[in-house]
Amino acid sequence: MLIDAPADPTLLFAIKDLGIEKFDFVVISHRDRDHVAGLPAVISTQSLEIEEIFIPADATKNAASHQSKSLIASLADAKRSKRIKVSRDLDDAVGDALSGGRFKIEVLGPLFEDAMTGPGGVAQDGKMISSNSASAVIRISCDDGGSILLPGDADQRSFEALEARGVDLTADILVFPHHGRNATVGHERGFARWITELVSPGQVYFSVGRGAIARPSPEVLLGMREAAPNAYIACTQLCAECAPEPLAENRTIGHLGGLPSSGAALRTCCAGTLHIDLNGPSLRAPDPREHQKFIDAVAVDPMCRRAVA
Amino acid sequence: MTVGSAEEAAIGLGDLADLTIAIYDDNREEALSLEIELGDLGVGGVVVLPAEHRDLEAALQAVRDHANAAVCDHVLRIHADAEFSGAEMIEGLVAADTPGVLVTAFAADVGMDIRPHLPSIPAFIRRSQLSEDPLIVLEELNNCRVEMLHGRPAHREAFRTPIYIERIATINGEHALDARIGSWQLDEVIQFPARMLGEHWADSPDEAVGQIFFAHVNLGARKPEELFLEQLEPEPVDTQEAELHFS
Repeated sequence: MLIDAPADPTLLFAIKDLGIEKFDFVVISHRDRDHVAGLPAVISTQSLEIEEIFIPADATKNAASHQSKSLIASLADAKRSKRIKVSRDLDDAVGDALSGGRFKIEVLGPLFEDAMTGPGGVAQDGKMISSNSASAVIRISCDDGGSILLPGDADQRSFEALEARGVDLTADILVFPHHGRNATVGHERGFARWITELVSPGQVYFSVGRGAIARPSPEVLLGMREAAPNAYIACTQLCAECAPEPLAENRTIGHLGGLPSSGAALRTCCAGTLHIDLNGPSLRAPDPREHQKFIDAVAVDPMCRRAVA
Repeated sequence: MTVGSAEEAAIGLGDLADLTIAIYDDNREEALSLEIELGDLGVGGVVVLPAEHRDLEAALQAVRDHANAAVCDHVLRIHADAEFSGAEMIEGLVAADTPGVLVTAFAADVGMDIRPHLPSIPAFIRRSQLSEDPLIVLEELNNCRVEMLHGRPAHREAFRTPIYIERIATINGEHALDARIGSWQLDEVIQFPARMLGEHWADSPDEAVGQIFFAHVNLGARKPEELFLEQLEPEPVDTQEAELHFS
């Protein structure tokens, strides 16, 4: 199963390195480009077999843009040439129908009634549904093992709706929503504390690039650490807030696992591509001790270690 | 200055004394300057070949007669009257198991003249890079040799993806297409000649604007100038769905 596809060749290289020849399911949490723009190449690659793609419709996206045209053309081509089933029904009504083997895969959100309206529409509570508030929230659990919550870019409205419905969001691992930022600027610390309390994770991961805007935001880190002070934290790439400069050329990057990592070539990876074993659950790569040594070597003021006032 | 053994190992070309590089450039001054710089790096032999051949095969033979590697300038028609380009020369040399590096000074050439040959050209550099550090010639020759031996590296591995044709322009009297590459850097536009789409589209390039094509593209490329397109094809038509229409 593949969840989300950024326009980053690292994804294609990782699929190849892992020897993956088939996905039973490809799930796109929502239609923001950093989650879907890599899908055209994934589904157009003729050597990769895919059974079914779940991708939501989204009225906030411009269908006349080159991104939308490429996406729709590649989906149409995949349906025609590879007979891939394309479904837009991705909501909590799917339940755990995607489960298989030792893994239970639950689609906790969006709620069916929000998905029926979709992004761009007005929900039953009178609030506008954005792409983020309709983002899929997925939990994967392993029999006799751990669990991971993948909430995409789910925002405050999404979590409020799930909490109001009494949905259990607990998981051993949280991939923090929206790359560690929240649109509710000014309320980020409280939002992060609340989300972390809902999930109660022992490990928190941030899927981030190295942009001009700090991701994760310092306030989110503080709120998250207030709620889970002992959680292990890892960011995929170095935030400029932590390390203004890449790792010096004379230092060796030795902590990454064998998989390709975005930022490695530019020496701006942090934990890089994460290899998570849900049996533990534990982080197989990078080795946490080596990851911490890397942070020692490159970060001036790492957000994951700042004092929580 | 000579390259030490550690640097030789890093470059990967082995014993530089065994290497003879042919320089093929219609600008003799540029060629002589590069000859001195490569000699200073410890290359065993450097031969400046007169760019006097009109025929590609003759030029390729001249390189193979005098050297086991080559550096070719792309534009060979300014000071000579070659009927081929440096890109075609490197393509021919690589096909004949001779590593080569293409040098180009003009950005416009990359999209229009060089891109169609890029799948077969493992190494090309800008003239400005050459001026900054001639060692890049040896590094790129080694990259070329490695690709010839072991296949394309990750950044040149091709994946099938959609291509959206955004605009048409005329460059040096030829129809050029501006395109967006699916699943690649979404804010970048690349240019390629309309003739790459085949005869029909070369004759009616306006019809391609707004259309989707598919191609195998090296999506690991970092810059537009590194991208190549293979197996270009129009968006397939779904004949099965067409059959479902009722009259």
